[in-house]
Amino acid sequence: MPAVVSLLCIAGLIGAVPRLESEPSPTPIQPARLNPSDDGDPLVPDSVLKIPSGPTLILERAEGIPVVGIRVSAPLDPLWPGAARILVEQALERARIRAEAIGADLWGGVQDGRIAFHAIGDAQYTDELAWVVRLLTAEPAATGAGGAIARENARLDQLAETPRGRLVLEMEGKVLGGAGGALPVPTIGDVHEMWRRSFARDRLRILVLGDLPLHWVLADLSRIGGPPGPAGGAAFVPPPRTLPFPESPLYTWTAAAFTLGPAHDPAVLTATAALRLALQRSEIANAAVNLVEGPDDGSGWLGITVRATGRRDADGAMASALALVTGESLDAWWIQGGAAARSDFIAAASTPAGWLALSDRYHVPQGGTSARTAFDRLRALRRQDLAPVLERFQATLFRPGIDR
Amino acid sequence: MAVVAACAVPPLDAQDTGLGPSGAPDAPLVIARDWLPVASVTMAFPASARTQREDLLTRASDRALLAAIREATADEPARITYDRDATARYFVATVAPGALESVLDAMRRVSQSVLPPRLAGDAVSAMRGDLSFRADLPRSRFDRVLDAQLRGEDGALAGDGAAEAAELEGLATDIGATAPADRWGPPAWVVVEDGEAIPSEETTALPSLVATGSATSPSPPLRTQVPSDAVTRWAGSVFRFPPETTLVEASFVRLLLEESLAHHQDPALFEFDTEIDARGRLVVRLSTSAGASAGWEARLDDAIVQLGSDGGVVRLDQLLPPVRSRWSRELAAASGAGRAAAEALLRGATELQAVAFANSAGSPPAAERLRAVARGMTLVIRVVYGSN
Repeated sequence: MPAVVSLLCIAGLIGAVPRLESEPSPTPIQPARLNPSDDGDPLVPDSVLKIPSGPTLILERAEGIPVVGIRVSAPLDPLWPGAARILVEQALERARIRAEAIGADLWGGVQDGRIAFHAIGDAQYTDELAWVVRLLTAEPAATGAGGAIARENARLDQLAETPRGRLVLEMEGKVLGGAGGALPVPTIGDVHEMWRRSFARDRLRILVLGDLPLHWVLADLSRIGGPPGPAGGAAFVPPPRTLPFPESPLYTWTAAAFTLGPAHDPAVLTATAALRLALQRSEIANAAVNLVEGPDDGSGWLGITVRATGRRDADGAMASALALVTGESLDAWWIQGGAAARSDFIAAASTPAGWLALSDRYHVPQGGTSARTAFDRLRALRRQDLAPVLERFQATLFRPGIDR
Repeated sequence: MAVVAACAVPPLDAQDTGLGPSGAPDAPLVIARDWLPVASVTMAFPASARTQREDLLTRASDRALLAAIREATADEPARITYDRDATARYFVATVAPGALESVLDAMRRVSQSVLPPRLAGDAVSAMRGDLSFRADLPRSRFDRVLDAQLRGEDGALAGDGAAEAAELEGLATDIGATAPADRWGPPAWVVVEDGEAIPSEETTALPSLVATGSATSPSPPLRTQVPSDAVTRWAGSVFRFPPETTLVEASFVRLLLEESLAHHQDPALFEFDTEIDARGRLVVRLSTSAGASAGWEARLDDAIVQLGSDGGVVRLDQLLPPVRSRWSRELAAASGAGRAAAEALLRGATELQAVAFANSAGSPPAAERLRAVARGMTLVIRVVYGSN
């Protein structure tokens, strides 16, 4: 297989590339196309490599593309979104000046349950982009985190001030296994511990899109991140604290939260799009009804808020909204929902950043899936495939109090 | 392939390059990108409004046409977007490769049909809502004056909000009277898809599309000052490029200017927007706090002088990398490449020239040439709305 030959040659040339193995099996040297029949399909990575004690490298080779895009993602460990936000802010600040010098599009955040960054720029500045990525994944400094910590404090205060924000916090609490409330703002020590665990080299996933040879990817990106090694026991996460909720003097608010299933499962994408359309187009009297996205941890939590002038109207409107997540409503909306979900998918794939994010989202270590398989499933979805979605809705629905 | 010469309203200063457009009306220009996971269809009409009413008709008709295209492609894996600039109005479908033909057919069919009265009525109604909200805002007044100047009218005569709203009367009927493709001529069509690329040696051997016309005798810039007590001050500046400036060079100088002024990071600067208009001129709109007074016009003029000098405060070689990256990102997306090619076609490019423009990320103009273009730029119009 050509990829293997290249790797062996380059290993000899750069002298730093260790034995390669496929993920998760320790069997040596299995870098390969996911499926030889997918040759040339841009939605299937060209090569997926797992370097022992190193990152997983996913190369999307696109001959002639004028840009290079690099995305790095790491597991959210521990499950503490606030610490990830501070880590990301520090990393972006560290890399900002170098990225600006070459006009790279720089982004970082929590996406699909992973801490992710991307840097995308002209193909002529490939080496500089690799340097930007090294800075993004470098160890956070103890100094200079004060601003990011203050902003995280302000974020929690702001969320607690509004009923909609309280629902977001309730959903975060559910994701964290608690009964609502918010995790406290982390210290710089907590942030460093997250970096040590999440950015251990062997836990990183690096995706490269460009007209680049495999040896460049290996030479420039295989050694980024922190020292590899086991995470070493469960990470410390303080218990969620209950935030004081001010009363809403003018309106009555009510809320519901639920998950339809893993956020990027094609059936869930379709059902969520169908619900969104149904809420937009159904006339629910005497109330304002909104869909609220939950934490981006991949678990697919959604919330609904209702605002009305009285309790009876609020309860009636919520009942109408929840009735949209039934078999009858799906019968009416799922075809349009499917079309919207396919349209969203195509729109995401149309930019280098979105393309890399899709590859990351649908990569599984065992192989066999890709953005292509997800899109094909989305196109082939049948009404009966949505049945598990309704079951999960029933099993997870809860009604947090957001109007105290 | 779009045939600009066949447009009902020849809108642009299409350049006579000696090569001339080819192909049949409504046959798309195909740009091959075999590495893209998606395809795109771009349908572009010229931004040809010569009166305020024509401009309103264009906007309302586009709104109805966009709704009609979205309805016609609702079941397809496609995202339809719309944008307009001083050159053209772009309807772009980003689409799964397997659905390309049906989306292209749907867009073609809709553009050649009279738009349904329901959609025309909705569009005019939405325009009425927009106008009632913003027609007499200072920003809208400024835009009307500058747009009139760009059209070659007397800017001081630009109508007020009430006059603009009155122009809406009968608009829905007008929209429903003629199919878009009949009113504005065949649009420029560009498809970006997996396919056989035009060999690069064919495009690199071409003379580049010239964005600007021949030299005209220099005349003093047309200056218009409209007093206002608004707390924001708007300024519109129009610069002519030197003769024989190519479209790639003009685009790079525009981006260099944006990058150059981004370094100032002045909190008194509210908006900064640049575009190249249908006549190949650089149009810069900016707004500042009234207290910043005329400082930003001087800064803008100075930034162009600096771009043209060998040892400016901000060096060209420092500005070029960010601009290259921006240009490459724009053209890497199917929609960006399609839009660039459509713009070139509407400016009179041949198919090969349009492809070359859409593929120009890998071969940016030389720095020395960009300096020469900046040195040759002249201010032709300046409109200021606000205090001096």
